[in-house]
Amino acid sequence: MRELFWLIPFFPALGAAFFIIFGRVISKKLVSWLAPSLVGISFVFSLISFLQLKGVWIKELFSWIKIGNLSIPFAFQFDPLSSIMALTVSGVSFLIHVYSIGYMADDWGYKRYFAYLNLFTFSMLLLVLSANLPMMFVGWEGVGLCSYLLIGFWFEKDTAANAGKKAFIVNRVGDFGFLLGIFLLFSLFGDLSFSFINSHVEGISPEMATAAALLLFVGATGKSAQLPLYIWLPDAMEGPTPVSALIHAATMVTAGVYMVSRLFPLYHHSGFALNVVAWIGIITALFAATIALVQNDIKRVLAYSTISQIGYMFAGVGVGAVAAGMFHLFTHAFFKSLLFLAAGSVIHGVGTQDMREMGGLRRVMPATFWNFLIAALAISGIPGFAGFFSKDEILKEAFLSGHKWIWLIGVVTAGLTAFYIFRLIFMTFYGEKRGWDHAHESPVVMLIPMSILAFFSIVSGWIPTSFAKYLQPLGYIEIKEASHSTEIVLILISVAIAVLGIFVAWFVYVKRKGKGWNFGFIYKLLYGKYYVDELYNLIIVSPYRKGSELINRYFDTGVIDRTVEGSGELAMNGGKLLSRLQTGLLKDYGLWMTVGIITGLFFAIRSLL
Amino acid sequence: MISAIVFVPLFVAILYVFIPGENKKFFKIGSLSTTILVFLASLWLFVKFNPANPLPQFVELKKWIGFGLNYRVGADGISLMLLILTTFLMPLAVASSWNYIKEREKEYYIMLLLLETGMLGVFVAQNLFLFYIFWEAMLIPMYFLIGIWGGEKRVYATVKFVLYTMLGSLLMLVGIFYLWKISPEHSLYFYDLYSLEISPSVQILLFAAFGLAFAIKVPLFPFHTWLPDAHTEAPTAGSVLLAGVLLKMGGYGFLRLAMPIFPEGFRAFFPYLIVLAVISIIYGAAMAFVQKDAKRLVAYSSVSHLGVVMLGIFILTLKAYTGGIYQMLNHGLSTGALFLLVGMIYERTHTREMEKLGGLARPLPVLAGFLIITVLSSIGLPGLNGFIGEFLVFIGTFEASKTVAAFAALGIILSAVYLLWMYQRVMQGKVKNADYMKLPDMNLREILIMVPIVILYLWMGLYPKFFISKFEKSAKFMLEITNKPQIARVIQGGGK
Amino acid sequence: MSTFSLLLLSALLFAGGIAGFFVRRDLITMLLSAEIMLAGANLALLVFSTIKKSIEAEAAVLVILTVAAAEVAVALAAIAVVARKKGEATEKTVSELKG
Repeated sequence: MRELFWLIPFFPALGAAFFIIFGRVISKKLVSWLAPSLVGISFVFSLISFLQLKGVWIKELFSWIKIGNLSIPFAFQFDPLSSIMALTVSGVSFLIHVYSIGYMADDWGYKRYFAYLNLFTFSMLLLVLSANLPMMFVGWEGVGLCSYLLIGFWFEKDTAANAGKKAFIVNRVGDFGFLLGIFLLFSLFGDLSFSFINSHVEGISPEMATAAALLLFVGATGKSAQLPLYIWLPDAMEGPTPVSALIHAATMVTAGVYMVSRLFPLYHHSGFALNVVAWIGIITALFAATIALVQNDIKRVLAYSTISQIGYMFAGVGVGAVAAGMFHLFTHAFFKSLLFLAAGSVIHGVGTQDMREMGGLRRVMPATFWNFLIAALAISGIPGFAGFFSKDEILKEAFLSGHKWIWLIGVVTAGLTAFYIFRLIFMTFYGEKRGWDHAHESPVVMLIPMSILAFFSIVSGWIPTSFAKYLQPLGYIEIKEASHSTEIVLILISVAIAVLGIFVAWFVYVKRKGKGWNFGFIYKLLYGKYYVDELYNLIIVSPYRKGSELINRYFDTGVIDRTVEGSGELAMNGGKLLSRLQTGLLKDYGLWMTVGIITGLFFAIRSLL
Repeated sequence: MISAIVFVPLFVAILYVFIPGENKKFFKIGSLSTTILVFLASLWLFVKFNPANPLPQFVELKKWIGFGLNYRVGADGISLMLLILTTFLMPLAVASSWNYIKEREKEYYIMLLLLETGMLGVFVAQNLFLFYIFWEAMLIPMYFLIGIWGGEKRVYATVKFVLYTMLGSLLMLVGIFYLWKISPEHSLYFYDLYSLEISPSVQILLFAAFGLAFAIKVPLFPFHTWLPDAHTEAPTAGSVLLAGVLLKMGGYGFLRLAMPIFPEGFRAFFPYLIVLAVISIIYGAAMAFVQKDAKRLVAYSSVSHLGVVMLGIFILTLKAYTGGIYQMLNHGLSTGALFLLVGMIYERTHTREMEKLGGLARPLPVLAGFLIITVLSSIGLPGLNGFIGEFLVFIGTFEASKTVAAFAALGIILSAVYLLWMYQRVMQGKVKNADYMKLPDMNLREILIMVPIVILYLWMGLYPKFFISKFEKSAKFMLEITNKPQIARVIQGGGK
Repeated sequence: MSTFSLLLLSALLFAGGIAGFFVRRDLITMLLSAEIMLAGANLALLVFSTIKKSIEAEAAVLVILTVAAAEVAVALAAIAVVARKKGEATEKTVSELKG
C-alpha cells in the first residue's frame, strides 16, 4: 500500500468524470452501483493503508509548479492524522452514498447528484492526503466548489441558488486569508510542505508565526463556519439532506480543524494564534448553541449545532489538545451525520422541515426515532455514548491546561446542546401529530446506513486513550494524566448539566407542551440569529453593490467615458468650426491667399531689413 | 516556416477574393481547414522549439526596404506560446461563426483570415518597424468585423475602438522614428534596441509614448472604456479574438518593447503602473458586478483579469513575470470561452440581458456544464488553469510587496462574486420565458469547440510545467534584460 | 520706357487683376482678372530678366504663357459646362465646396 495509497482519492474522481461525461447514456442503475462502490474501494484502500501504516508515507507523483525557488510537488502524505481523516471521510461518505440511493431515488438530477458527490469525496480526500499547502488548497477549494454545486443542487429554487453562491463567496473570503497565509509561509520557509514547515518552525519569529497562523485560520473560519464567517452554513441547508450530513456536518466543515492540527507546531510556536483559535472556537460554540435553542427548522437547528460542535473542536485544539479536538471530530462525524440522516428520513417521510408541523412521529417512524435518539444522546454527552467521551476529553484538557473560562463556557454550551437537541426530539417525535398525514418509515437502503452510523455513534467514543496514542507519532500530542478525583468531578459536572438540559427540554416541551416559553426580546434576538446576516448586508454587501452601481453610472460612464467621447466631440466641433472658413466662394479663398502672401512677404521683408 | 504560418491565411484570403460569394459552404470549410492547418503547423514549431535557448528561434531575415527596415521574424518562448494561443483560438472562432454569420460570408472569412495574419505577425516580428506594420494592419479587419457584423451600436463601437487604438499607436510611431534615428545602422531589431543607451529623460518620454499605446490595448484603467463597447458589439468570433489575442498584445508590447528598451523610463513610471494594475483588478471586478448585459460583464471581467496579468509583468519578480505570461494564456482561453458560451446563449435566446434569462440549466444542461467549468477556470479554482497563473502572480507580488499582493488578491473574492452572480442569473432560478424550455442544447459542433478548451483547462491546471518549461527561459531572459540593461549589451545581437 | 515705369505698369496690372477678381462676380470676368494678374507678373519677370541679363526668366515666361493658355482653355470649358448646367456662371453657382 505504501506505493499505492495515493490512489485513494482517485477512485471517486474517476466516477465523477465518468458520470459527467457519459451521464446521458448510462443507466440510473449503473450510477447507483458504481458511485458507492468507488467510494467503497477508497475506504478499503484507506483501511488497508491504515493497518499497514508505520511512520509517515510520502509519495511524490510529479513536480506540479516549479519556478525559481518555488517548487511544489504533486505529493501525498499518509500519516496518523491523515489516515484517520481518510478513514472517516471515505467511510461516512460511503454510507451516505448508499443512503442517497434511497433519498434521491425520484429526483430528476440523480446522476448529476452522484457525480457531484463523488467529486466531493475526491476533493476531500485530496485535502486530507495532501503533503503541502498548495495541494491542500486544491482540495480545500475543491470541496468548496462541490459544496456550492450541491447546495445549489435544486438550482431552480432561488433560495438554493443564493445559498450556494453565498457559501462559495464567504468561503472565498476565507480562502483569501488562506492564500495570503500560504504566501507568507513561503516567504518565511521557502518550502510549503507540511513536514518542512512543522520541523523548521523554530527558525522563525513568533510574531511571523502568529501572522501566518492567523491568516490560515481566516481560511479555517470560512471553511469550518466559525465566527465571523459562519453565516453560510445555516443557508447551506437548502441542499439535499444527505449532502448536509456529509459535507456540512461530517467532513468538509471539519477541514479547518484538520488544517490547524496539521500545522499545530506553527500555532504552538506562535502561542497567541493558538489562543485565538481556542477563543474563537469556544465563543462560536456558545454563540451558535444559543441560536439553535429557538430555531424551528429541523435542519437549521442541526446546522447551528454543527457550528457549535466545530467550535468545540477548535477549542480543543486551541488549548493544546490536538488529540481531543481530532477525537471529537472523529466521533462528531458519526453522530452528526446520523442526526442529519435521521432528520432527512423525517423530512422524506413528512415532506416539511418545520418542526411545528411534525410531532408524534415516534409511532410511525420507530427506526428513525431510535437512531435519532442514539445520536442525540451522543451529542448531549450522556455517558456511554461517543460524544460523551470526546467532549469530555476537550473539557478536561481545557480545565487542566488552565483555561478555566473556556472550560466554563464549554460546560454551559454542553447544557444548551442537550436542551436544543432534545427540544428537537420532543417537538418532532413526541406530542400529538400536527400538520402531516401520510408519514411513512424510510426504505431499508436508508435505514441500514443510519444503523451503522448509530453503532459508531456509540462505540467510536470508547477509545480516547488509544486514539491519542495512535496520533502520538506526530510529535506534538501530549497525554495529560489527571488525578482520578478531578476527573470524576469534571465528569459529574458535565453529565449533570447534560441531564439538566434534557430535563428542561422535557419539562418545557412535553410537560408544558411548549407553552409559556417567551422571553420577549432575547427570544427575538436569538430567533433572528443575532441579525448578523442583516448586519453583513448593511455594512458589506449593499455598500459594495450600491457603490459599484454609482461608480459605474457616474464615474465610468459619466467621467471616464465622457472624457473619451468628449475628446472625440472636441475634434468634431473644432472641425465644424474651422469648416466655416470653407465657404465655397472662390473669392474668399483668393482673399485668404492674398492675406497669406502679404503676411508672408511682410515677414520675409522684415527679416531682410 | 514561421513566415508560412503567418502568411498562409493572407494567401487564402487573397484567393477568396477571386471566388464568387455564393459558395458559402466553401468559405466556411476553407477557412476552417486553413486555420486548423496553421494550428497544426504551429504545433510543429512547438515540438521543434528548443526551450533551453531563450533567444528567438526559427529566425528568418530578409532585406526589405533597407535603411534597417528589415523583414525579420522569429519566436522565442513567449512569442511561441502566444502564437499557439492565436492559432488555437482561430479554428474555434471560425467554427463559432458557422451559423452566427448569415450574410456576406465571403467578406467575413476574408477578414478573419487577414486578422489572423496580423495577429501572428505581431507576435513573431523581430523588427520594430515590422511589428508596427502588423500592429496597425490588425486593426483594419477588426474594424470591419465589428463594423459590419456587429450589434446595434456597432458603428459607435468601431469608431471608438479604432480611434482610441490609433491615438496610442501614433505616439508609438513617433517613438519608433526616434529610435530609428539614434540606433546604430538604423537597426530596429529588438535585441539591438535593448542595448541602446538612451538618456533617462528621453527614456521617460519614449516609455510614455509606447506605454500609452500598450496601456490602451491592455486595457489598463482608465483607458478601458473602449473595451466594453467593442466587446459587446462585436460578433462572437470578434469578441473571442479580441479578448483572447488582441488584449494580449498590450502586455506583450510592455514586456517585449516598452520595458526592456526603456528600463529607466519604466522605473520612473513603476509605482503608477503598479497602482493602475491593482485598480484595474478591483475596479474591473466592481464594474463587472453591476452589468446587466452578459457580454459587457465578461468584458469588464477582462479588465480585472488583465490587471492581474499586468501586475505580474510589472512587479519584476520571476514568479510573477512567468505567472503573468501564463495568465495571458489562461485569460485567452477562459475569457474566449466565456464569449463563445455567451454567444451560444445569444444565438438561442437572442438576448444578452441577464434579467430576461434565467433557469437555462434546465433546458441546456450541457451548456450550463461548460459555462460553470469556464467560470471556475476564470475565477482561479485550484486544479484548473487560472489558479496557476494567479497563484504565481500573487506569490511573486507578495515577495515584492505584501500590501500590493493583499489588495490584488482581493480579486479572487470579487471575481467569484460577479461570475457566480452571472451564472446564477443566466442558468439558475426559474425559466423566465416558457419558450426557453424548448431550446436545443449544444450540438456536436459546439461541443467540439468547447472540449479542447476544457481539456486545456485541466492540462494547464494540473501539469503546468509542460507549458511553462517552454517559455520559462525566455521569460527569465527578458526579465533580466529589463532589470539589468547591461546584460543586453553583453549578449549584443542575440540571434544575429 | 524706363524700368521704373514698366514695373509700375506691371504692379498696376497686378493690382487691377486683384481688384477685378474680388469685385466681379461672374466667373469669366474673374478668370480674365486672374489672367491680367498673370500678365502683370510676366511683365515684371521680363523686366527683371533684362536687368539681370539672364535668359531663365524669359524661358519661364514662355512656359507660363503656354500653361496659362492651356489653363484658360480648360477653365473656359469648365465655366461653359457650369453655365449650361446651372443657367448662369457666377461664383455662387459653384460653391459646392462649402464646409
